[in-house]
Amino acid sequence: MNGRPVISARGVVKTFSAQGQTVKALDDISFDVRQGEFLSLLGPSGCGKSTLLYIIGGLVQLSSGELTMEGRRIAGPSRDRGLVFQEAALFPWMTVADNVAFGFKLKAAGKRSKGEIDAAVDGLLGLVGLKGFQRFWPDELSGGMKQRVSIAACLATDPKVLLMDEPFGALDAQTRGTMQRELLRLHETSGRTTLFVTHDIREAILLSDRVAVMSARPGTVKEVVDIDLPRPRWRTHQEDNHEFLALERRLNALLEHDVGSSSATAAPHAVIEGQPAP
Amino acid sequence: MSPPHDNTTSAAGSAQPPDPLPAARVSTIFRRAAHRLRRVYSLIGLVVLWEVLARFIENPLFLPRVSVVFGTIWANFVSGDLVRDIGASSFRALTGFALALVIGTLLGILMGWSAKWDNFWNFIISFSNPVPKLGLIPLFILWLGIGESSKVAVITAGAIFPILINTYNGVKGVNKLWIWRAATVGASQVEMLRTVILHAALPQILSGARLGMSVAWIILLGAEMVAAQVGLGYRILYGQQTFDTALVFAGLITIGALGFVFDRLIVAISSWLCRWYFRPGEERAMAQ
Repeated sequence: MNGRPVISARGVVKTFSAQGQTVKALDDISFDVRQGEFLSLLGPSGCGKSTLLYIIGGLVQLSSGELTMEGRRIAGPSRDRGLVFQEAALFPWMTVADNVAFGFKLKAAGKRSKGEIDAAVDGLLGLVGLKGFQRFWPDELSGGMKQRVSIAACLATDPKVLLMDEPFGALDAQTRGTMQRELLRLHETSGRTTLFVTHDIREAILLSDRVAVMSARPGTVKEVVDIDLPRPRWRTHQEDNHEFLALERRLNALLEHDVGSSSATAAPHAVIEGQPAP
Repeated sequence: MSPPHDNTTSAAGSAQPPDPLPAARVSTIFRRAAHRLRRVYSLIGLVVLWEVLARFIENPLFLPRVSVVFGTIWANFVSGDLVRDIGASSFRALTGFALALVIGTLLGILMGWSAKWDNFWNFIISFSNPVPKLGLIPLFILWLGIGESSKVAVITAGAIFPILINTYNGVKGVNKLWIWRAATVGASQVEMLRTVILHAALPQILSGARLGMSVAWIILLGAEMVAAQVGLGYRILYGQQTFDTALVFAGLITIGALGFVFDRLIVAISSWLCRWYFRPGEERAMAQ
């Protein structure tokens, strides 16, 4: 897992101004995402982890600091960095197949024949377990299925890095478990570099090679914890083993400590929002 | 797969006859027809009331009988006048509307999308929107002459605002995630506008078109009354000048009917193009 860094953040700061007041959302963020790894950004609600992900995605501008992908400064969105949003951002006027094919049909994708596109769409839908759903409309799918389509649509551009913003946060526990296994399978078979935002400690441990723990207000990366659980994990069940539970305790302590300290200074509602899952 | 007491449509293949509930089906059809007719009751009531009043008043200059008005429509239809009037008026209204639709949609999308376009046009729109468009007729006649172009221009000037403003609001309200998703898969500005923004704002664009169409007919009448030798507005004015009240009513009813047809056409096109937006329930709400 000692791949070269693909994305590097050095001293990234993000401030928002509203009504003459300047709020620091992210402060001095520095970390690397390494080639082929699964890195999670773990933090309480409101710590700015989604904002950080959107900055890396090129959708939000940073205020100061340096952010590069493969040595080049990130200035805007790119097909190299695919994004899966918390809410499935499917176009409701397109069928499942057209949603997935959207990335293929753009000028940036080059010319492809209809047959090639259809075959590629079939392949991607097969990959996420939705073979035969080509002609369905997004409204006709469950939340989990929509998110599968989103992932397939995101993979259509074959991005070097997959950025995921709490993609399973809106799903029920049962579906979330299934989707986590599916994501593990996808990651472990493709080896695609993935940056995953979550507030769920167990989800972070289950999926990740490393977990970057963030603190709130202003958000900063407090510690990066290695997750040394053996891979592949998608077939096995290890949420109850000793190592897993030890990691869970450690991450829990890191988050709890943060909630305690932030309550002493400012923003009392952050305590309630940021309460880590038991 | 097939439960024994399943009395829904999936009962095919069981021992029951293929069409177990023909009576229920007939009554469904009847109920649907009755539902449609419900909207016509009020219209029939209005016509009856009119006829009764006309017979009571007995003054055709004030209120001619319904039968006389429809007789006038028929006579004008047979003589060819009505067909020529409808043709001339429809041509003007539709040409003006089409121009307004193209310009209004384009400008509305650009203003909704780009702050530069918004800043440049916003005050101009706010200033010119409330200017009564019938007041433009003299100006347009001076500029474009008394022919068709001045009439079409004034209709465009009126119909463009509801289309533009609705399109603008539609573009402003597009789900940010859709824009972001298109951006992260590498959509160019033009691709973004064409494949995402236009589709996402289409329901609002078409609701603007619906308003624009009605404005087009309203302004058309004024334009035809000021300067025209053919058209429904001219016909109505002619009816007033010759004390032919039935002809005035005939013209008004024809305009109402034409406006109705085009309005329903836009509603039908909207609910077909924006199937994703008007789910069955909403579709019925829109059609009311």
